Amino acid sequence: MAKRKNWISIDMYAFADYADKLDKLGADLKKVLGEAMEEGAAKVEEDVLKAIEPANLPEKGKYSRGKTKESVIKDAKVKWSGSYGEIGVGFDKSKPGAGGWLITGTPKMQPDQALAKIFQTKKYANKINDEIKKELQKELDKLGG
Amino acid sequence: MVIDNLLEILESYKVPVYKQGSMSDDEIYPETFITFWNSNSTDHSHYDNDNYGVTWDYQICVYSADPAQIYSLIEDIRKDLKEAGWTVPGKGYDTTSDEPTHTGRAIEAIFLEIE
Repeated sequence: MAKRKNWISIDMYAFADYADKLDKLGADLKKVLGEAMEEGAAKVEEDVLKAIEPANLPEKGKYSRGKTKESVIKDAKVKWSGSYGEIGVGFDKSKPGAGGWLITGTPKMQPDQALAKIFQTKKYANKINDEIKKELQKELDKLGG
Repeated sequence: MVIDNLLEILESYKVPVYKQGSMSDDEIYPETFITFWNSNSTDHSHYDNDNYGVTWDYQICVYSADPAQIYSLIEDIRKDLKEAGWTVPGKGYDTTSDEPTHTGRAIEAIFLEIE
C-alpha cells in the first residue's frame, strides 16, 4: 500500500503470495483480487467520510462548506494494467479542498486527528491490508487451497 | 525526552518554533518560522509482542514569505535530524498556509525510542 499525503494506493504486490496460490487453484485472479481490493477501498472511504464528519472537523465543522466531502473518492474501482491492479482511495486531488490541509493542519489550525490516523500511520495501512488478505483467504478456503 | 531533542534541533535555527495549530486567528505570521506536530506514537514490539520501544512520528513544517528560505531551511533540518538519529523519509511536500503571503513545506521525522 503506497501512501501520499491525501491519497492511498492499494496495489496487488502486497498480496502476491495469495495471488500465486489462487492462480494455482484456477481462480479468476482479476475478479477475486479486484473484489477484495475494492472491499478494502470501500472501508477506507467509510473511514474517511467518518473522519470528516462535523464533530471531527476544526470548530466542529462550523467553517465547512462540504467541498472536502465532495472530494472524497467514492466507489473506487481497480485499474488494471495488464495483470497489475491498483486502486486509489482517499481524496481526489484534482478537486478543490481535497483534504490535504485537514491532514497536515496549518499554523492556525490543528490537524484532523481522525484523518491523520488514516493517512499518516502504518497501523491503518496494515489493518486494511489484513482485511483484504482475510477476503482472499476466504476464497482460498472455498477453492480448497 | 524525544520532544526535547527535537525542540533543541528546531530552536537552533533562530526562527520562531510553534506547535502546529497553536497560533491565534489574529496573530501575524513571522517572516520565517517552524511548526511541529506529533502525528503518532506507537509501541514497537518483537514478534512475541514484547514491547521494546516507542516510535515517535512528527510532522515538521517550515513557513516563510521567501520560498527559497523554505527549501534551504527544511533541507538543513532534514540533515540535522538525520545526524541526530532520526529517520526522515523523502525530501518533503508542500503544505497549506493560512496566509497568502507565506508558503510552506513539511517533512515527516520518525524516532525510535528504545525503552
